[in-house]
This record gives sequence, structure tokens and C-alpha cells, in this order.
Amino acid sequence: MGLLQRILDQHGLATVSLTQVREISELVKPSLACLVEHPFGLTLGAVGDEASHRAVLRACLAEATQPHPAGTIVDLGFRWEHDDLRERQLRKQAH
Amino acid sequence: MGRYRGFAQVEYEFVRRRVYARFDWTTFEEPSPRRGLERPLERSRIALVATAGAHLPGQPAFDLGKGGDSSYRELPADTDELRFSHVGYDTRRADEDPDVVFPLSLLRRLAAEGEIGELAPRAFSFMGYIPETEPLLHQTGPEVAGKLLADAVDLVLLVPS
Repeated sequence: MGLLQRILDQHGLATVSLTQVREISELVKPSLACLVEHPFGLTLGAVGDEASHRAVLRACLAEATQPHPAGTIVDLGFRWEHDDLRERQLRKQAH
Repeated sequence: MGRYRGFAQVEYEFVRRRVYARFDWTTFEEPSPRRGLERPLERSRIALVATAGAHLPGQPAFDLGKGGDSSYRELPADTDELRFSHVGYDTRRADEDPDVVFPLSLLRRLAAEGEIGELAPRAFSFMGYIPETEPLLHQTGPEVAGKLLADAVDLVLLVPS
């Protein structure tokens, strides 16, 4: 995601991204990334949880209006508390 | 001591051992330039670009082989006919609720409610497993950038999966 964002940045587009892994964004350094610690495949939240989807999207879009310097990673504060799916994914023990 | 921190190292070792022996992260010393949003969100045209592996029923699925896939699919912003193909996550969740990784429907609702100005006429989806990044960096990525510029978008929202 960050590589693609870098390309769009280089073409002069305004961009904002979500990221689920801070350390990967730190390697790629896109212009502005917003961290949500949700599982892979559930970036905006659980299936059917529209309230969380809206909250994530609103928070991310709001950061696009702020004067962050290039390379900023904003922690939006969303954490996954439903189960251990994210932790297992981070150990490559779940898909 | 690994080359990378945290999950970056876990993924690096996993992909090299199990999937693609030449894999390495493409890294940068400096951030890419940031262009700020030039008008309020409620007057902005926003485009969705995701790596969810989304495609229309009539479009080819993404290549789920070990070499990855740097191609993309162009999707009209008013579509509800989404399919997902991706090696990196369980797409059954997205099949059930596309907004979890490809929030086109939610962005349409935000536009209808006046929170954003409008949705760009087309969205773009890649499939996030791209171990060889040259085609993305020099062909498909710039192609999509050109289409977003042609659509005069004010902001691109990028969503990983």
C-alpha cells in the first residue's frame, strides 16, 4: 500500500492511507499513514460493524485535513478486542 | 537479530522461506512529498484505491501464484457487484461485507450525507501481494496515478487489507 501511495504522491496527488503495521509503513515512508491495529482482511473493523467502519474512515479523512509533515504516521487508536485473530496473523498462524 | 523490526521481519522470513525466495522489502530513506488537501472534505472529490483484490464479476480475478500480481482493476464507483481474490487474507469476510476492506459503499453513504463532496467516478483495486515491485513502480502505479489526475480527484484514500 505504501509503495502505491508513494507513486501517487510523486504525481502530485493528495493522499491519505490506512495501515495495519507501523513497522512496514516506517520502511516505505508514504506521505501520511493512519494506523489501525485491526486484523488483515478486516481493516475497517468487524463484518457488519458499520459504526466502527464509519469511525475509522472519518478519523482517517480528518487527518488528511491536518498540516502533518511528510512521513507522518498517525495512530488513530483503534485496537482489535474481539478475539486473538490479529495476534495469530502477526505470528503467521492465521489467515 | 533480524534485518527488520516486528512483523516486517516475520513477513520477510515467511515469504522468503515459503513463497518467494528473492523477496525483500522495498524501502526508502526519505518520505514521499505530501500535498495537502486544498478544500474542505465536504467539497472534495475522493477516490478509493485499495489492495483488497477487488474486481467485478466480469473482470479476471487476480493471479494468486507465488510471483504475485501487479495489475489492477478499475471499478465504477456505483457498483455493488464486487468479488475478491487475494492470497494474503481470508476473502470470505470481504465477500460478506465489502466495506471491511473496500469501503466504496460507505463512501457513497458519506457523500449522500454531505460529509464528503463526492466520490470519484472510478475506484481502483490492486492485490497486495507484489513481491517484484518494478512493474508496480514503473507501469501500473503510474497508470493509475494518471487516471486519478484525469478524474481531478482532490484526495486519494488508500486502504490496505
